[in-house]
Amino acid sequence: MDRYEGFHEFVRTRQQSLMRTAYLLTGNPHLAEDLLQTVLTRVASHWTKLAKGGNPEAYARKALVNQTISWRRRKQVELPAAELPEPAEPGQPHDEATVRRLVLRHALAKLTPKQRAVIVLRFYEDRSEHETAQLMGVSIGTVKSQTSYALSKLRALAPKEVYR
Amino acid sequence: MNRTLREDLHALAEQAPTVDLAAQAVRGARRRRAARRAVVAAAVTCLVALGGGAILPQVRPTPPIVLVPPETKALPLPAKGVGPVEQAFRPRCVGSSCTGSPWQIVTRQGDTYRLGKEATGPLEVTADGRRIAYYSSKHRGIVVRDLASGKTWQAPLKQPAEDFVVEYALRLSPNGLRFVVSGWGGRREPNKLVDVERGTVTNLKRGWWPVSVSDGSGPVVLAKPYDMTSQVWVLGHDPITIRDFTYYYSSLAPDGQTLARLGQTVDRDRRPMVQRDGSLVTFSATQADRESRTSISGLPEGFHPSRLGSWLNATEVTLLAVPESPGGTAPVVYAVDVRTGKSRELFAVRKNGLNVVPGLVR
Repeated sequence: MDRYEGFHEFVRTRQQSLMRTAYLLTGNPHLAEDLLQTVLTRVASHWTKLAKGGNPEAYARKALVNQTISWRRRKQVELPAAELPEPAEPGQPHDEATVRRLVLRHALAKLTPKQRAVIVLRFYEDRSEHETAQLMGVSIGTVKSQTSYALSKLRALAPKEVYR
Repeated sequence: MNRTLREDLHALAEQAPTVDLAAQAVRGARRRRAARRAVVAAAVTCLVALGGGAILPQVRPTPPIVLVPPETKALPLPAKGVGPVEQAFRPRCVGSSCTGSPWQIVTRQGDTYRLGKEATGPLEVTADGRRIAYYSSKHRGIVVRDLASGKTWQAPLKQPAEDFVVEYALRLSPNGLRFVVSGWGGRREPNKLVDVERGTVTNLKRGWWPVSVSDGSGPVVLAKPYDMTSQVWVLGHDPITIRDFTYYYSSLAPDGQTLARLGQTVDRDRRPMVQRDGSLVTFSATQADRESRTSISGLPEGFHPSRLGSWLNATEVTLLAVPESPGGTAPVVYAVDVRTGKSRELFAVRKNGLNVVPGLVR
């Protein structure tokens, strides 16, 4: 029997969803791919056990969060600034959604890895505080405080018209 | 706000590149499995070679023996007369769930002492283990304590406890009376050089984190990682650029000039792209491109270099090695000769909680 039976199917159906989370956690497509690659290798290593009675996706998501925090713990990495896109028509304003996306990307880059993780888990994956605490291996109090810090930072970093 | 944030996060997530990683992941897992089997095979070969056939009957599945570490008796920290610290730890403190968990220090003689409730924030130990610095909720600032004499010094900087709820660094000079305290992610984000003896506080540029602080008016070294490079800045000199994204530095060597860092390679065709290569790089902190590299040897199988710390003498620097598979063996502190790469074991770190190793740069 193939040790990795079912793994390819799992990756095929879930990798893009996991990749989106990895991208939000890292803010960088190369780092996101590295992160997901590392995590999927670990999932494959434990596939026999996970396929029997475990929850591969929950394992992968938890590993994504913990790996990204341990990779970039504490230190701020300066990412190259994203350029504002050229307007589609000369003289026309930028597409509002595009600008908001860029603003958010810049603001997320200023958060600590833990703060970024709570924002992604609470507001992208819509996890409860309890679930977020379990995934990150921290207390609910820490989730609350990190969320509060992160939101106030996002508010401070975003222009007035965004996130008010 | 949150509805908008949700929408924007989903829009941003849609920018994630499309990937197909199944085959690569399986290849990686096969390599890991093959490596593990090779190690097991080598270990069995050694057992057979050493013990002969008599051992073989014993190599059959037996229930695992779980050794429960003995409960350490921790006495309250005496007012004075305490020897140098080997390590400090907060028992059962995992991640950030440390609220109220008291620090314990273990001396080189093996005595364990418990700190009082006022010291439940950050704690660091000078490289020689003779002084500790901790956040005192009573004094709302860092307090430095000489363990032998019991003398204490209060930092001339008042800080709210919230400075240490987020990410922070507290880097001590060798005598503990000068330090840099930095924070990221909080409301204030302090980055200050504090001289306890002179009673001065100097603001440092934001975005630079502390690597090394010397006593008196000696050099202060800061670093800043960029995407693929890093900068090291000895205050008073121009920053130098390292063609490597890294933050695994040692403190400044006794010559006041040399730093060590853990070597790593970046290869866009490998996954992960950044890989530690098991080397130790020594370099001038003030002159770019003056560096030499040696391979670290003597670490046990399954351990890799994790962080560097203070220098024991002109040629040996401390190194923390951690097991590649978490949950198994405890991390171990080594001394590595920067000329030859040879390492020798100093002590194992306690596993059951958050640890502080004197002088470690983290």
